[in-house]
Amino acid sequence: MIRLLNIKKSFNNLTVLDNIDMKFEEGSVTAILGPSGCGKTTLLRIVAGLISADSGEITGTDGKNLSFLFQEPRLLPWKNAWKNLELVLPDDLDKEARRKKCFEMLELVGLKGYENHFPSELSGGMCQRLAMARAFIIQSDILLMDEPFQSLDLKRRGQMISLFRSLWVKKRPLTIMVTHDVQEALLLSDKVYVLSEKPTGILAEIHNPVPFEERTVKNERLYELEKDIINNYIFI
Amino acid sequence: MKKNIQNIFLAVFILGLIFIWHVLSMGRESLIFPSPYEFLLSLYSVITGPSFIPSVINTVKSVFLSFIAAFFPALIFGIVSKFSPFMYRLMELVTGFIRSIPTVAIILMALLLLPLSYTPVIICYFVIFPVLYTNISEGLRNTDAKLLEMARIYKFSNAKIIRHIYIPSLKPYIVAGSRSALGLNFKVMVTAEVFNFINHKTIGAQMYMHKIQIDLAGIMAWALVVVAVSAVFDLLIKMLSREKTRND
Repeated sequence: MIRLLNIKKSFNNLTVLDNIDMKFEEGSVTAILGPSGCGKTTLLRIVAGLISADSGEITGTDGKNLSFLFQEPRLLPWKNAWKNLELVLPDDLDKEARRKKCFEMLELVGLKGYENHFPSELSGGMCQRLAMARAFIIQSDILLMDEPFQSLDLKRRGQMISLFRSLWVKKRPLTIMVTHDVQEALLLSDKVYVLSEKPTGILAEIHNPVPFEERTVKNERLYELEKDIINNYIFI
Repeated sequence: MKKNIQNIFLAVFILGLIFIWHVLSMGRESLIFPSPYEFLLSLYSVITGPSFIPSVINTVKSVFLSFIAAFFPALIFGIVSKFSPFMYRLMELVTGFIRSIPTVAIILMALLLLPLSYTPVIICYFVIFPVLYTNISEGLRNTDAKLLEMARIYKFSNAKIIRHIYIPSLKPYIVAGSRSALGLNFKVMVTAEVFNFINHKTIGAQMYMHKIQIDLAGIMAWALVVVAVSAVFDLLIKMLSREKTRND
């Protein structure tokens, strides 16, 4: 379990995060929902250890393997698809095993036949699928996602959400995702933290009552919950 | 426009230039201004002359020596500047200063201050070092921070980061820097050799001797040799960089 206690962060005297307390359970997805620019990404970067908080405490991340799905795919443009995956695998794995693992993962994300294509030869959606394959190919304990579907159109976003669910359910790593899309948050997560505008605090902690397997866009309870969140916390 | 038509236009353009050249060479200055035919004769005599191979070899050797002498320090200072803001500012000042000094002033100062045999090499070192340093430094500074962040998340070792992120990011800057530095190096080297008349078997010295004889065709022939040798090296760098890309 990861715990954030009294996390504070300011940039140039502007308080971005103010006394943030959060709890992320093992084997679950938690969404951090909030308006653009409220500090969601900053919070995720603090959890990832990419930046440090001004004060507060984070427990449960030491010695853990991380995966990160960024807003953009962040692939090495000079490496082809399977080499981009191979790079994140542990160095002690032998050559044949690495290749096999990469090719299997590429098949899972629907990129079979594109193994030798460079990122510039793939579409935006394919690159994001490749980035997702990279995030899932290692045995990570923690998966962090920073609005990874934001740049995709509605259809591709739906495909990516399905793909994510099918990959996630195999290993169920502790996942924290940042989004400003209520529907996306509810489709994917077991718990949602709703954040306020700057200085950012927690407006609500909502547990998703709908089981993982039943979460679809057609689910009535999910739809009602989405309306509640929008009415109570987004348009207030 | 189709490539064939482009080639025809290009050929017509070149033939037109040669025709204008021929007409001009028939005028008052025909005594010193050679016709295209005289130029070709001179080029033939330069290429088949006993001084051609040693002169080209000596000049190419000096160009290489100064290039290598400038490349490695430029690489080292580029790396240090990436991690030290103080060194970056210092080097910006130094290279900016060197770049602003006229090449001829560097040549004249070097001729007065340095042992004659090394002068052209040292002059070229000073001229191309800023070009190489700036390219390497810019390449390192422009390495995508987002990729470095990704590497940090996925726990890439330092060797992996250098091999798979820094070197490929730097490569286009090194290729571009090397191409401009080598082109510049040939020009400056020949100029320095003209001034530094200690070794007769260099391209610059050969040009100087043709100048004494008021043999413009000879100077033009050697100029064409410089262009050709420089183009061969440019092509070589391009080919090497392509070969490396395939192996990455």
